[in-house]
Amino acid sequence: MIVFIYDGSIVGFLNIVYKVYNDKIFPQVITKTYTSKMFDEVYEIESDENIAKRVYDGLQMKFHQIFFDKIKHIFLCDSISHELELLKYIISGFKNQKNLLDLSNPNIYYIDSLEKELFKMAHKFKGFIRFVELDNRIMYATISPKYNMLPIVKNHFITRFKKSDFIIYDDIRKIALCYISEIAQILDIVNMDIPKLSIDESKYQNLWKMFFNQVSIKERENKKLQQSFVPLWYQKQMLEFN
Amino acid sequence: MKIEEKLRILGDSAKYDVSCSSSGSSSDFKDSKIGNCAIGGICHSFSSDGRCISLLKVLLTNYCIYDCAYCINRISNDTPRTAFSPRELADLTINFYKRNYVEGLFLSSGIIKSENHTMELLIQTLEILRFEYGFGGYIHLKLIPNSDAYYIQKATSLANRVSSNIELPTQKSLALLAPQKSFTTLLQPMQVARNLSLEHSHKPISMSTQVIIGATPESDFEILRLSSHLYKQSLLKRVYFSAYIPVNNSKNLPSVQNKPPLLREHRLYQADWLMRFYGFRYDEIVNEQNSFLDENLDPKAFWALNNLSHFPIDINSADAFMLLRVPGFGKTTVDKILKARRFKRLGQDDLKNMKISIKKAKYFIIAQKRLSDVPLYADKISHYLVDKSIENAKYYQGVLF
Repeated sequence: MIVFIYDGSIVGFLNIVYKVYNDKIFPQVITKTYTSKMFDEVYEIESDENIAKRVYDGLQMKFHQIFFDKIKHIFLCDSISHELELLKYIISGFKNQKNLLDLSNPNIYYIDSLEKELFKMAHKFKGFIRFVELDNRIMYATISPKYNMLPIVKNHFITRFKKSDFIIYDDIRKIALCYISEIAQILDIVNMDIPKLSIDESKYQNLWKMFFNQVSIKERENKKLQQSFVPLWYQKQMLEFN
Repeated sequence: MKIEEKLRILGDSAKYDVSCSSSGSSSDFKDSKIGNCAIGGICHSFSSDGRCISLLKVLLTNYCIYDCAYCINRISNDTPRTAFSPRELADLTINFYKRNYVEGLFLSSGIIKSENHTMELLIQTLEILRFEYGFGGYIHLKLIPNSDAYYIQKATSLANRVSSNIELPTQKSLALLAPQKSFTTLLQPMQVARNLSLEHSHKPISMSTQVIIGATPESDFEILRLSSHLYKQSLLKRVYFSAYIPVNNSKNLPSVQNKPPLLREHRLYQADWLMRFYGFRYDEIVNEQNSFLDENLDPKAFWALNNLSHFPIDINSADAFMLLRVPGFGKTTVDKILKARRFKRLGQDDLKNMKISIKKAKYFIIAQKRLSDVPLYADKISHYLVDKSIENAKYYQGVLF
């Protein structure tokens, strides 16, 4: 088996694409963690910024905006190994971009539905993120999403909050989307210290929980349906389910 | 009274209003300080009955001078009464909104003192939100029938969507259960609102209504004819159906013991979708002879079985209009097929690769060959299409006894 080992970054992946075209070797496995086995042909891929830049520009030039964005979105699905599929996708795109519309091709379908899954999840997060008001009037929320959500939900929350400040902290990737005085940044933050909550916070939390419970019509109770809309995994960070 | 208590009472009375969507409306309040409207609509939570919560749905007050038999807040009911002040309600909305609990406000009200007085309080609430707090989020306001055009005009300029509930599908039922209301007074505020909004822009303000199902003996045919009529006049964007849940005892109403007709409500929604998105006419779905929808079959399958001459359909050549009429195929499925068949003639494996379910559709389509060996006769196919849970129930009964 031909195995490529890389560091898991975008730069590393772009170097893989370069290697495939430059050395004409196609990997059967692309991995971040590798335990050596007999008969494997192993290549360690370096993360060379210059090569990555060249490949990136090449992709941007060659691919239509829709497909280029799709490739970037797939990178955000960082908790599953999609590298081999993405590599195949890029190769068939370089051959002929029209192929990328053929949904009956399993590879194309995989990439399309992975992007859809990402968007679907982002859409749920737009509704399910719960903010608390801090002492200094900043709205704050913690999330632990499966994929990297922040770049996707960023614009939504900026237009929602307009002139108010907010912070969304992704405690799995240790990054935070900070929107303070109408400037938005995504920052690396290893340890998030949360200042005190505002005095009104618990009052509105209780009001919300109460509203949530009484709005349900008991003659129509259907917990299964509720859970299919809000999987348990989201419920962990939602105030009204705790 | 404390605000908790008020929210409990007034949220409780408003929960029977089904409408919750905040979709299909973009914000016109550009210089707002907080809030937007997402065009697709966002659900913020789901209550234990599986309905989405996207709006703070409350009444301004549950004092009411009307005596409608189906309503929990009728004047002759002995329930605790209370009212929000416009300020309290505005504060509640903005604080829920900031914490991302809701997309906006869905405000309705009982009629306190007079129609115009009630409208005035509602408008005050909206003004505090829009002008003082700079709220740009979604607001849906229930118009009060019989109020002056002046108030309706103000309301339409402040809200994203307005509506008025018809509640009962015929004049006869209204006269029986809600003697103080009539069809004309219920539709009047919506007509006024539409004409007013058309004066300012080419796009009329979007409106919806709600009809109670199962409180009176109307047939599905009458209900669908009414909603189709309202859509055609382009007066409404959406008609909601609400299975009647008995809250009062009255000799003119079904008994409190009855279960709400949830399956019938579900079939009506399916039929409604067929009219709005699938190009069906109401009289294709039901007619005067078969005036109720079949509860065992979804309306599209029912139509297909009665019109088998159109089938089987070749998915490699049929147009979008016909593909949409295949039972089990929805918009996304049809889109996938149309895209993929540009590359090759599709067969069963291609449908599988695209994760298209052919459980229902296989009896009606050709993908290179017919996908099922069940002959095209209505009774043969319907045997396979009838909801399995009903079948299973029969089966278990057989074993037990």
